[in-house]
Amino acid sequence: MERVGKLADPLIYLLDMVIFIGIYSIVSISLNLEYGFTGLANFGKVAFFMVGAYSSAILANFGYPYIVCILVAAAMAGLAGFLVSIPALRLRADYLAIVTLAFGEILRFIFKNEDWIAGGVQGITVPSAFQLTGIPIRFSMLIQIGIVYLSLALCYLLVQLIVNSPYGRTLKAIREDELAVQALGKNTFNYKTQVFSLSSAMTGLAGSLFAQYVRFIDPYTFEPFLTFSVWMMVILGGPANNLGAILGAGVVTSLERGARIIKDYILLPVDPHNLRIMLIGTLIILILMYKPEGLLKESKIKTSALEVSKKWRRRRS
Amino acid sequence: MEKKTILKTENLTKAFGGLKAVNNVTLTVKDNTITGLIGPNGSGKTTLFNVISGVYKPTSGAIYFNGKRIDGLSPHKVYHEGLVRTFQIPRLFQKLTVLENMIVAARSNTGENLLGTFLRRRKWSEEEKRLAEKALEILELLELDNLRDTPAGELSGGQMKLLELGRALITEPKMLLLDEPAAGVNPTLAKRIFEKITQLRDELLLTFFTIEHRVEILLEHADWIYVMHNGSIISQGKPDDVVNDKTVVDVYLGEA
Repeated sequence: MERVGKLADPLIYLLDMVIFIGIYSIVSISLNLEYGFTGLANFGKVAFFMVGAYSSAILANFGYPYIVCILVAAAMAGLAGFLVSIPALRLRADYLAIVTLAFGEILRFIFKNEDWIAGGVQGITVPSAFQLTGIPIRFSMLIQIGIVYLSLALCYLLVQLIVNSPYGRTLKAIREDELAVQALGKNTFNYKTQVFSLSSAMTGLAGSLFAQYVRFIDPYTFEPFLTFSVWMMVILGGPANNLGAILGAGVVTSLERGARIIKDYILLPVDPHNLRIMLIGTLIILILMYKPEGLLKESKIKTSALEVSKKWRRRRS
Repeated sequence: MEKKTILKTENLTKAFGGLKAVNNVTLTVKDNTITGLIGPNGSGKTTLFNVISGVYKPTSGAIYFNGKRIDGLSPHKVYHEGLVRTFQIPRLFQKLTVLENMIVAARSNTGENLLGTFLRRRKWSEEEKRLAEKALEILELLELDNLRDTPAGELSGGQMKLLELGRALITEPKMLLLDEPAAGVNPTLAKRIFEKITQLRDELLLTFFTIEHRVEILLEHADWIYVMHNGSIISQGKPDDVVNDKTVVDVYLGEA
């Protein structure tokens, strides 16, 4: 994104925030599918985001059209998720967290040290997908917003369809007690692998959108902190509620980006990056103390069984 | 009339290191009976159930269910054979409602695979209605239908036991392994649970193999009893015979 040298147009700051909220909402929804609904503690979200971003960036440099970049990015991240899930999902929850966390770091070091892949520490620039020279920056940002929010809408719809189905009910049951689900004759490993792959693909899609928007990525962009931000979004918004995941993404991103933006307008006695971490830390403590279930309550599973249940009440009383 | 055998174990052993939790157990369960398994704490009853239901692989020996060898199968495969277990401490899905707990246990339907979720919406929606009806009928039988929209975690201990039983029933099993269905509930409810089990044996022609510490209630309803001690079967017979068996009395009351 072209940064404006002097005091920037406030509207651009706003649009920038809107774009980031959209991108992180996708990641937050995907973690919600894993953690909120299925109970999988994936602490390697940034790895799949990185796979998506780098895949997209490399393809864009070869001149492939944007839609191809996005789809391949999602597919690559989904594949990475599938491969990691095979050994990792055999482990118990806490070990899964460590393995995925380590995977993210390993991948980051590979991108950092193997500079033939994508420039190593030098990073890689991403050519713009739209040949729109001479149009105002506000306008090109609006196009970005359109693409990001269309992707978000599709992901939201997809996850909503999944969780409001017998499949989604089984996911919640796995979260509650995996052994009992196995005793009920369901192969929980398949469910978990599918969820993990699909969520990783969504995260990869978000990574692709991110790369196209920021137009330059390097390994330092993908520190583990990003994973923790996304976790905060889900925990804050309310696990197992997709609107909550979006709300959480909105609040956390506003604080993170807001702290950076505000320094251009007022003089702060502290470094805005530290302020950001302080604000989010305080917020998490408050939430865990006063509203541990998150801002929004866990959503009900809406299937035709709910209608039958309602009619039963009427028939009996 | 001689009933046919539905479950048979042959020289079944499960060792944890040097400890043989289940030691050379050979037993049979006849079809359409309530067969009880009693024995002091730590005698290996739950381990035996875990081996039969596939949670543990046996160290040696064989298990036959309905004529088919099932030892070494994973739990979900044993379930598909029609052998379903309940747990000593009810393993309900706490945040799911009573009705959801029931439906999730039903034999897999179309909407339970990822592609089916999207492509066969109409089909699973219909199945879902049918399953909900069936679940509500079982809940009515167990007198839980008024609690159908309550999260399972908010039920009382006795209600949880009943729901656990209901969840096993909706799977249309041939045989149920019940691990202490009446533990931790008041005597009246304990009696009612066993009356329900007897009713299910007679009406749905089910077979029950049940562990129970409330021996007095079990003896009243069981057709056959096995007694386990230190991993081995030490006695078996009709309830009246078992209570008069000297070895059983010794195990329970201590040797004189």
